[in-house]
Order: sequence, then structure tokens, then C-alpha cells
Amino acid sequence: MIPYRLMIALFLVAALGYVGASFAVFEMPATAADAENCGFLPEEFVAAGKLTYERSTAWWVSFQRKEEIWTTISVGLAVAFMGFALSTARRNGARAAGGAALGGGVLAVSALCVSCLAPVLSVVGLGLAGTLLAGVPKWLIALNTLLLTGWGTLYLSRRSAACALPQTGLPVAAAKTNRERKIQWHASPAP
Amino acid sequence: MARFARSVTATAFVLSTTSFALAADYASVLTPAKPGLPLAHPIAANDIAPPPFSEIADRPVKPAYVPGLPGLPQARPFKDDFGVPRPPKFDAVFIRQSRVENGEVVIPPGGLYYLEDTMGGEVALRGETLPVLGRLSTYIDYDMSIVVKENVTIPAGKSVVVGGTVYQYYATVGHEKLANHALHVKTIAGTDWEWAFGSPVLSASEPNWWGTRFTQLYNQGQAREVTPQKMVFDWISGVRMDRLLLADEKLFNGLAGVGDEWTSGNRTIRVADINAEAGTVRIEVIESGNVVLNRTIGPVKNELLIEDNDARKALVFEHGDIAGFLSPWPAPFKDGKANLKIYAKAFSLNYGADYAPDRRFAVYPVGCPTGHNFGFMLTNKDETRLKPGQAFDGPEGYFKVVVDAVDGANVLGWHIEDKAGNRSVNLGGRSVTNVDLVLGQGRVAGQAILKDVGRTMLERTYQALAQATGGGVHPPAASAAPAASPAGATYIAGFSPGLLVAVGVMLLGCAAVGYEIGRRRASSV
Repeated sequence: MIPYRLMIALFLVAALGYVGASFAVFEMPATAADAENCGFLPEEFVAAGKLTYERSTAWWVSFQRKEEIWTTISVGLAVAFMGFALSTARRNGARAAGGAALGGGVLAVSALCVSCLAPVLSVVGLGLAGTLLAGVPKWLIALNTLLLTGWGTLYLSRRSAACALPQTGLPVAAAKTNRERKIQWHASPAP
Repeated sequence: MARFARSVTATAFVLSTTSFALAADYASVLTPAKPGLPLAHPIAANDIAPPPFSEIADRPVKPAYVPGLPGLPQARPFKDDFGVPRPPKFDAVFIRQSRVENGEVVIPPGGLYYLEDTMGGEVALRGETLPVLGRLSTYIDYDMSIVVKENVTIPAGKSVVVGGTVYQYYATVGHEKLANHALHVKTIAGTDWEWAFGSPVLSASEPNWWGTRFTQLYNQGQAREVTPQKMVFDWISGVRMDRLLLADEKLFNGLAGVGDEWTSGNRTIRVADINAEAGTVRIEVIESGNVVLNRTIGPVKNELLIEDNDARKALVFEHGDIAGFLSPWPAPFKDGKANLKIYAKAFSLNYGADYAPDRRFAVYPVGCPTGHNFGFMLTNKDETRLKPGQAFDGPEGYFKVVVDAVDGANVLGWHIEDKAGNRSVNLGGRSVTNVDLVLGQGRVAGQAILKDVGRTMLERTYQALAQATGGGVHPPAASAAPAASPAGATYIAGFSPGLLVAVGVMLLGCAAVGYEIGRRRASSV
């Protein structure tokens, strides 16, 4: 059973959080080269810290031109998957769930490395990943994140369905156990 | 052979000063800005060799272009002591006449130069900041002279260097059986004066339109023969920025009275006397109790400032690394006090001399004929040979040129990086046969030199883009045909390693999702 509501909520929180962080850390470029890196044209750079746009408009222009929507989607998908993976820890075991969540985290960080937040992140040593991913279009990173988190979600949900929860004596848990066993019979017929 | 001769000439590149006798007193031959006005700069008594490769034909060949690096900043804004914005400053690096020889990249003497590239004129006596390899020094004063050469021939399309000025016979325009001829005027650094003064035009056959003499401030000349084949000048002049005086420490800036003093090391600078009526100030520099400089500066001749040499020198005092001047602005005197600017850690950049902090380089300030400064060049004095994996440090290690891979006559990999290690993209490639470079966005790198090298630079950029993306049509080569692909190239055109991995991950992801969906379908049957 995939908790769609939880995942959608996490997706929205992470995506909006990324957009907010992007806006918060956005700095008006100090040089023409910085301006170019942020997606601005030479004629839009007036002087250090000054563009032909106000800061909020400049951020939005940069966000669009740098195709940050794909990074936003990637981060949202990765965080939603991490939440789902951790929520299955009881059924799949801490190691499997933790590993899956870690994978989701790697995807999120990879997406961030080629985002416009990367200059901020580079101070903690993420320049290498950013360099490796620099030639990869952001839409492809988003597609890969979708495929990998989708696969992870399907895998973990199948595995959850196949593994019974330990008996706890609680009625709710017992009911769940019976339901999972029923599902297990359908999925794995006796030889 | 020509290359060998050029190399020998370049290897012999040392500070070469030659005195020469002129046939006339050119201080009276040259035309001042208006009747009665003296020439602002003295006539040079000697000739100093310009930096190698100053002629137009020596420009970079199909150079790589780099807009800048974090450690080589562009368009830095500064204000002078009066809060007036000055033209933005740019760091520029050029490499010309480089080649590949026996698996090594060779940069000849003078083949590389750093340029403090300014968008407009730098002006003395205003406290203007002038970046020197990242240090923010203050520009104080300068020495400029007018170099005159006699019996100079410029063949059509060719160029000659006179002082720090480069003249190129650029074009002939025919009209019926008549013709006029355009002369392009540039600096040794490549600054093109067309934007400021236009191009002189001469004609022997259209006397109502043009003559055989041109005047472009102190760049002037008198031709005796002007044909579509050549121009021959009786004499031609150009300006040379002989020295820049700068300082790294500001000791004082303001109104000072008699007895005020400042110390720097074991020196004391003291205002010994002020005569506001005569417009003069007497300055003493005292070392170990002895007066080692006793100099009266002033009065201010406002009508001749800032460019007139004598009027400016009357205001400036120097002793060792101490320098200062009586500031004409906003007023030289107020309430019995003198308006002084005093500096320590002063130093000079002398035309053609060694650059003192790094003697592998020679320095050449670049002058505008009106008397303003247009940055300074630092050129490598010795030949540099780089094997793959080796690097050449720029002046004071301000940047580094690194050769990564050479295959036969091709430089497959090279880049430039700043002091902090920020690297350009790979500037090499399968059809790259040198490390010629234009870096920067200033008056020279971003504008003037494009007239000479812009076409090949754009062609090279397009080819690099076509190779990187693996698509598009390769343009026909305008000059040399592209070299064959190097042996052993293993990568697929248009796919970086990162992109290949990403496509692989996508395929694996599709397979994994397909497997999961298939398994679910199978189990639901």
C-alpha cells in the first residue's frame, strides 16, 4: 500500500521549501561573469549587485532561465521517497528502509549540486558531484529521479506487502498482520 | 625560417633604449591643441623597444575566448577621492604566437601578456584606484613623452610602432581616378582609438577632401607619398607612457597646516611652510634627523591640468617610496591650510623595465595621446615550453596556464586557472594547434581586438560547440583546414561521461520500473 497522501504532502513541502530557499539565498550578481552564470544576458548586467531587474524579478528570471523547475521536481520526488522509505522501516527493517532513504537523499543532493544553490553547497565539498553532473540536462536528472524513486517505491511497497509485522498484541497491529498475510497469499501462491 | 628569425628577435628582447637625433625640433613642428598652448608632453630623447608582437600581424591566431574567472574579475567599479565613479576595470590575458613543437607547447618571449584593461582613461592626481594584480593601488602621477620617427614607410595592410602607438595602413577607397587612404591607430596593447578620435584619412589626389597631414592629438604625421601601395611619412609621432607612479598606502588626505607631520618607517614627512598667497607649500622629508628632501610644490595652474607635464610636476614631490602632491581640488588652500595627499609604499611601473615583484615579466604602461592612462601590460620575458601536465605561472602567480594533453600538432587539453584554482573549461580540441587566448571583457579584450581576431575566435567557438554537442554543421574553414581526429580518441562526440552515466541510469530505471510493474501484473492474474 503506497501512502499517496503522505508522499504528495512531502513532495509539496520539499518543492516549496526548495523554491523558498532558492529565493532566500539568491544574490544579485557582483560581476558580469556571475550574471551570466545566473542566466542573465550581458546587457542586463548594469554594475556589481545591480541588474535591469529588481531582486525578486531577477530571481524569477534566473529561476526560469536556469530551468530550476526540474530541480524543484527532483528534490520533491527524492524527499517524498525518503519519507515513504522511512515510513516502511517497521515492515522492511531499518537497514533496507535506511538504505532506500539514503538513496533518495543522494538523489536529492545530486539534484541540488547542479542547481542554483550549488555555489552555496560547494563550500561543503560538493563541487565534484556538481562537476560530474554539469553536462547532464536538468530534465534528465528529474526523469532519472522519477524512475529511481518510482522503482524504489514499487519495490518497497511490494516488499512491505510480503513481510508480516511482528506480533505486538495490539488489535490494530493484529488486524494489519492478517491483512498483510492475505495479500501475501495472493502474491505468493503455495507450491 | 621566418619563425626562427622572429624567435631570435624575441629572444633578444631586453630593455633596449636607443638615443636618436632628429632633423627638426618637433616641439615646434607638432601642432598644439590651440595657438599659444604648449605641448602637454615632452618630445622623447630616446627610443625604447616596444613589447614583442606589437604589430597587427602578430595578433592571436584563432584564439580561445574566456570571458573571465572569479580571480580575474571584470567590470570592477571604483570611485576616486571625490566620489566620482571611474571607468570600470577589467583583468585581461592574451597569448599570441604560441605553437606546438615536439610535443610541447611553446609561448615565445612577449607571447603572453596580462593587461590591466580599463574601459576609459585613468587620470592622475585624483586618488583613482588602479588594480595591480588584485592589489588596490592608488594612481598618483605619470611621465608621458611624444616619440617622433622620420622617414617611415607603411606598406598597405601593414603596421608600424611609434612609441606606444601602432599605426596600420588599413584601407584605400577609390573614387573615379582618385583615392583616399585610412590609417588605423591603436596602442601596443590593442586599444583602438577609433572610438575616441576616429581614423585619420590621407589623400594625395583629393586635396579638397583630405591632405597628407593628420593630427590626432599628439599622434600626428606628415606624409610625402600616399599611394594604394604604401604611405611614406617625413615624420610621424606617437605617445609613450614612460612611467606610472602608484602607491599602496595612503598616509594623509586633507587639509594640513605648518608643522603637521606624518611618519612612515624612519621617515618623517613635514609641512615646513605654507605660502597661500604664492600658492606654494614647502615639504620636508626627514630621515634620522637629516632633511633629505626639501621641496616647494605649487602653484596650481588650473588651466593646464591634469595633462600638462610641467603644471603637474610642479605639484608632486617624491622621495624613495614616499610621494605626495598639492591637490588642486576642491581648492589647494583653505583657512591657511594646504590640501595635501601623501602616500607611502610608492612604486613606479617603467615602460620596458622589469616588473619588480616578478622579474620574469616586463611592464609596459599604455598611454592615451591625451595624457590619460589605459592600463599596463606585463609580458613574459623568456620563452616558455610546456609539456602535458606542466603549467606556466602568470605574474606573481595571479593566474596559471596549464597544458593537459598534446597529441602530435594538436593541443587536446589546456586551460587557464586563477590563483584560487578556478579553472576555465577545456580550451583544447582536435583542431587546436596553439594556446592563443583572449580573456576578458574590457576595452581591448571585449571590444577593440575583436576587429582583428573576432571572426576566427567566433569560428573556433562554434567548432568547439559543434564538437561538444555532436550536432550541427561544421562551418567551412576560412583559413587552415581542421586537423584530422587524433588517434586514440575514445569518447563519443557529444556525450560527456556524466551524460553517458545519466542515460545509463535512465535505462536501468526504466527496466527496474518495468520489472516491478510486470511482477505486479503477473501476481494479479
